[in-house]
Amino acid sequence: MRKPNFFVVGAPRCGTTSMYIYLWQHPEIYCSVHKEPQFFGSDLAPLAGSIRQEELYLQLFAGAEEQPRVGEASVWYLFSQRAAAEIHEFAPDGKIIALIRNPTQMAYSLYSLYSRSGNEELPSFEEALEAEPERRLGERVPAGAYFPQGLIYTEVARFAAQVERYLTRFGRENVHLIVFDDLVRDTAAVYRNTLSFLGVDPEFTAELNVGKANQWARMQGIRQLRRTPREIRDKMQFDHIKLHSDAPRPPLSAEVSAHLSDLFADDVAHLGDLLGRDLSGWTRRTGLGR
Amino acid sequence: MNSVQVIEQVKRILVEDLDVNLKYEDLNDPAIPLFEGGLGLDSVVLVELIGFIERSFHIQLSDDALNVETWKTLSSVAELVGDQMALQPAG
Repeated sequence: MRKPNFFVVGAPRCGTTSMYIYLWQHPEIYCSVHKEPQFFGSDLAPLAGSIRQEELYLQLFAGAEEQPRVGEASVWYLFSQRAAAEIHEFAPDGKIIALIRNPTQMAYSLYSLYSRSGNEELPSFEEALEAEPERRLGERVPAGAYFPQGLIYTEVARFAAQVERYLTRFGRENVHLIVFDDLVRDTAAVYRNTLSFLGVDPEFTAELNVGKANQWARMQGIRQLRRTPREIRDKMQFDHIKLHSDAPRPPLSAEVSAHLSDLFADDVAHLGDLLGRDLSGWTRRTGLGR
Repeated sequence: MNSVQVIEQVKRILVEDLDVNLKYEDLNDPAIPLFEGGLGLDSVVLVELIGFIERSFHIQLSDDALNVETWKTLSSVAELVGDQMALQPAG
């Protein structure tokens, strides 16, 4: 039975699904049909679809043949305090891919997703931010919330310590960090770099149009699902593609943007040091996009 | 079995065999998309549908038969089923 040897660890709302579907198309890469198995991260509340039994988890990769790279993607591994160590114990030679983004944009995008999915019920992002101190104590958590840890938006979006955990555990050469802005600006170049990092043919041409790539993924997923045990199929949620699409949302107010820019400034500076890159534009007090 | 009969049989599977809360009146238009903007099926349900179709029509659908164009609408699925049935040896 093949074990996974690369992991897309997050973060949510940073392009992980797109990158995963691009990687899936590569003939030297086998991807689990079940995105978000969330096998690692024992400090996280189990999400719907989580697979916590190793035997079942390994079934996700049973269809892998000669592909040198076998992997999965679970966006909360980056946030988890324990996942880096647990993945390292399971796959000491594993390769880690993490996507990160301007934390203010990421936090707002996560709030918007949760408002659609039912994890969030507060009617504005401002109110959700104000509720964080109480939510840390387990208060003001919606009755229907399926992942309360995700509601502390300003904690989820502090990437520096999260990234550092993986760099420390796996070594810089085994951690590939992708900045969302780069992925959007030059998807093909980011894809090639990621393939090189994984040690597979970087010249492979994938379908990078998100809509067409999603269609490809659906049919490939169906082919793999036919050979997947029913127990896993029953756990799978395919609504993520629909839910994760970026629905229109009002621009973030200048006041909240400025507040979050100040709040994240130190973390972003630290993250920039880790990446060897100036990310100060993320926390400069200018109008933010969506 | 002609194409109308195939479509009616596929409709029966969707309404009566699959747990997807569809009614016959949802399926009046054979050009309705199976996924977004149509019946809203997901991939897990589609795998179930494929299994029911294989058993019901006594055909085997290879991976090559699973592509975006054939699994687009009720009528495209019916066309695929008809083509596959024509390939089966007479029994």
